Amino acid sequence: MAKSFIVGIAGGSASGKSTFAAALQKALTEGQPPLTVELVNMDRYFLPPEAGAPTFISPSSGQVRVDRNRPDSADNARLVADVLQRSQAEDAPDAILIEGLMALYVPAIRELLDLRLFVDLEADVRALRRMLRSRGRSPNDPLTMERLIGGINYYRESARVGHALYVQPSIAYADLVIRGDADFARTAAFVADIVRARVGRR
Amino acid sequence: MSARFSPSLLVGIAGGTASGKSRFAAALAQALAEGRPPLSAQIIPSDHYFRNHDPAGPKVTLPSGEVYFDYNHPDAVDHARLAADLDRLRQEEDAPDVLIVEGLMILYTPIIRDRLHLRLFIELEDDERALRRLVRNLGSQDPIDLEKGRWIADYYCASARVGHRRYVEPSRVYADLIVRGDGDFERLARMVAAVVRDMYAQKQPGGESNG
Repeated sequence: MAKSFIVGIAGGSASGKSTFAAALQKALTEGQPPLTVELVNMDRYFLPPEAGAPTFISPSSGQVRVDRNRPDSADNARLVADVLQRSQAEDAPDAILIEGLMALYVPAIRELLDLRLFVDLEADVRALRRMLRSRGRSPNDPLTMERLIGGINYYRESARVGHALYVQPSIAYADLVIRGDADFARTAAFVADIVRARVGRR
Repeated sequence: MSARFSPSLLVGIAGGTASGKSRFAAALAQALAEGRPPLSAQIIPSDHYFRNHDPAGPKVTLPSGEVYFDYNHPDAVDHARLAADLDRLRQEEDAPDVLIVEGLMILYTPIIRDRLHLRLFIELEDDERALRRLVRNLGSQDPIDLEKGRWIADYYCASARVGHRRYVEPSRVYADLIVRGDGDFERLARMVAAVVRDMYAQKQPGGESNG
């Protein structure tokens, strides 16, 4: 029975996880022999508020806000079930890349992994990147000062707390740590060599 | 308190970019003025001594290849001129009781550090400082120009964080007191003012020493 090689990519907010995952996917699919790869973004499994997502009361606004920086912020059981199903399917890909904040922190996910990666980048650089991301921005939807301040407050009240409590300590579980400001085309090629060697051996 | 018996006390405040140095300096000046006895204070930011028009000043290259003055290098400030001014100001007839000198490299630079009677360092985590600095440098333009934001981030990464790691952060070992940059400055400044007031009292004739 086919079984996919499963790679987990954890790291802080705006550390470069998705960019690295995309670079690794490209290196695996374009190298020799080309491998089939599926990407799983853990953000897709965030629980909506009505499904019991954890919340906190924002000290800055006094409002109840969904907390997306806790291990129970996502439906991890569904994610594990989906990955297992894909990895054991008739048409299972050679590799599955799971990318998310808690990919190494959540035991049920961590235990699925054949290779554990952590994308590491200092908090100040991540904070700036996070605030200046253009993803989802358009000329019709510019970054206003009000939204920036709101974003900074959410970072202070949720992201940096979750990072300190869960994400950064999970670096202890990593097989390899990748610098978030490295040339990913280069480092993804190294990791692709490792994955290819392991996939070929099975 | 009108008669002057001794030159001004020198209090130095160092700390990373956007840690709260100048706000703390202002809070300290106020606490000194409001306590008993009231002490007069003058704030001298080392930013007033930038050598940014000196062609020989330190430079930094951004990822874009553009070269800019490096404000986060010890040589960015004319510390020799600052030291000379401190020596002169504190001896003047109408010198304030306390001169508060604040800036990135105040504890790093020996010719300033060695002159200080009290050394303070304002400490705040890098990410918080980076965000505060971003908001400050963006100014009031709304909506925000993302290109400008990215330039601010690039300059921060190439200059501010490098200078912080190499010079500013290590200089905290010279601090007598370390103050949290997100603390209640009114409260903390009153505590530091009590220390300064005690130093001041000890310097007066009839005090415990004539230091």
